[in-house]
Amino acid sequence: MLLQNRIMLGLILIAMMSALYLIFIMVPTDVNLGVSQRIFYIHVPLAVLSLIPPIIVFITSILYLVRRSPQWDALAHSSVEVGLLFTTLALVTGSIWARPTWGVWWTWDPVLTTFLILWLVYLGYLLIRSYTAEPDKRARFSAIVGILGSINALAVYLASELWRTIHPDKVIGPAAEENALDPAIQLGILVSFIAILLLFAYTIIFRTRLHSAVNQIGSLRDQIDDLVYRISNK
Amino acid sequence: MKTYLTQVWDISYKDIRLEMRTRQMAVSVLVIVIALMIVTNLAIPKSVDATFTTTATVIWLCILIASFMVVMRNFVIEYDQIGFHGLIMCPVPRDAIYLGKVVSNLIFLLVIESILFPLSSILFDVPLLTPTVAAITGMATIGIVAAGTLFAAISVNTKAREIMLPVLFFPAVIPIVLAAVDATQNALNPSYGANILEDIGVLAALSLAIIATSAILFNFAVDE
Amino acid sequence: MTNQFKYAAIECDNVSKHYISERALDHLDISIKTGERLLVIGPNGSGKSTLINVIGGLIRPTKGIIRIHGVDIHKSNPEHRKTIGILTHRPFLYEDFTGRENLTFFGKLFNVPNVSYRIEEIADLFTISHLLDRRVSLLSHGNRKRLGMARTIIHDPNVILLDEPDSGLDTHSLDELARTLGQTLQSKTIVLTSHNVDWALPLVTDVLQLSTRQEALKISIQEYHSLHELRKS
Repeated sequence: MLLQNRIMLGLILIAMMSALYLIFIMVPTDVNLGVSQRIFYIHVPLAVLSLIPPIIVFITSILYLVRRSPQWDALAHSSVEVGLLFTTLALVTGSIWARPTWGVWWTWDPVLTTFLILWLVYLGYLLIRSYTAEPDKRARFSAIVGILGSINALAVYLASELWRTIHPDKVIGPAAEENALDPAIQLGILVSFIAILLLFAYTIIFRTRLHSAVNQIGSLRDQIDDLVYRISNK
Repeated sequence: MKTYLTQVWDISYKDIRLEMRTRQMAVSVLVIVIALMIVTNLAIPKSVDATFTTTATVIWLCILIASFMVVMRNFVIEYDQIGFHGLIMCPVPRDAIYLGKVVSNLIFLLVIESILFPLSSILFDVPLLTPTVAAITGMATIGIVAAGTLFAAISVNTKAREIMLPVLFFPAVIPIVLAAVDATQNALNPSYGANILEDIGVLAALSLAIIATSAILFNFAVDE
Repeated sequence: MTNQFKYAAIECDNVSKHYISERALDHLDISIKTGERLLVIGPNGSGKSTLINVIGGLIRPTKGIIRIHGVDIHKSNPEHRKTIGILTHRPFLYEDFTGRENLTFFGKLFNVPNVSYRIEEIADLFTISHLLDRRVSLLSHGNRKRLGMARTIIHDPNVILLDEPDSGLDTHSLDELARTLGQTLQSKTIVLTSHNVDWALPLVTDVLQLSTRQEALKISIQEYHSLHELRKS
């Protein structure tokens, strides 16, 4: 297990280093935006990967409510934690990118609005976990909040698209990229994406194992208590 | 089916009678919401073009605050007086309890809205008392109340109910409020007309989706 | 109706209830037959109230199954809760309603036929007819308890669970309660907890002793008496 972890972390380190090298050295400086464009290479993978946790949470929450096995709850929990981290970073890097590019730190276009709401949903999920004492209730309530929250994020996106297009968008959308033909840029995005994807996957797996281990310790403790009880009553 | 609906109504009717007995909720909610309405009305500078937009926004803000207070009070009273165990011991399906609560919350909110809308009509000098606006408001309120009831049921069970409900409730009702504000704004504009049925249809669909999902999830919220 | 005699009225199958800080019930295996009356005794913290709540379906056990007339009450349709009448420390009454309104509400939810007549009938039984139209918040503790008892049996349940029904009652009310349990509710299966063993003992057929170390011992009333005579001598 330890070797596996070390290999994984090693890979991530290599990927990150390559990505950073590509981003800051290899890729040509953008004609219009200058150096600040480079943060885009980190922002895009972060943002794209932030859209995966809601899907995971939705599925695992339903599975938990139906099957009641704690591993689904652990996976949902880790997805939200990682999702919160990645969404925060996406919002921050996006904001930093937006200022020189659009002239504003923030705009209420559908994508940004959805990300903000997603952030709030994650926050709500973690809050309800910390404010519910009994483990069984905690898992059930989080599952309900997770299901509704992920559906809501989708609904907010659709709602914003339908009812907030009064104001003209200043950009096509963060996925659009000028100069996409330059091979160095393509490579930069690809490597950056892989590096952050590896980090994403590793963190979720790691956190899930952690939560599962906590659950297992709890049930082992119960079993030991049982044994002690039986022995002392013979 | 008939028994199910009777049970839903029994629970709603009990809530309504209880509120009529004490009048705790109606008075406090109305006072706060009317104060909010007046303050925002004074605070926003008047320009003719923006009147429809401002009115729609302010009204729905007030309705949102009122909904939050109503759903919270409903469950707090239930919890403090007989606790959820009192309802669990009854041979009533859990989603019937949910629907019963939604109906009573809806009625409370409709009563509050029936005072709020004429008042806004006067304060903002806008034609709010039309069947179209009524239909929009009705549909949207159903959706808001449906979501709020479920979240209130969950929040009341936690250690910090006053914090949990807003955090869960407000993000969740954004889609329906966006739709409602847009529709209201359009309905106020006399040069509109064509797409209003579409707007109401969308609201109805949203509300239906919310009620259906929440009714199913409510079973898991009161599992014990 | 035949189900009543085919299965035991109440069956606790390896039931445990663990909270974060303590274990209220542990591996409890008891069977209570139809018509039996069980008195649950034990010191504070031995799990008496938890047992009542778990059997009544208000609290889900951590492990094990509770069966009422063969039906797992936690997994089955809420319809089956009609067979149970439960009175806990909280009487489950709306403070701002009158007694009559409370009984009407619960009567309707439990599908009691001819509710108003039934209300008069049980109000008579517990001599609270004159208090029915007073708000619960204005009733004394003892009267609230009687109203709670009325609420418990309004739907004529076969299984009646009472958690310290005698606490806070005066002598007259205690006698009245004893009479009701003894005569009117003769054929029912009853489980009650009480600290007042002298009052409760003549009313029951069996005794369940719980201890703070989660031990449970169920014995018949005769065995209980013989045990106590042995101890005296």
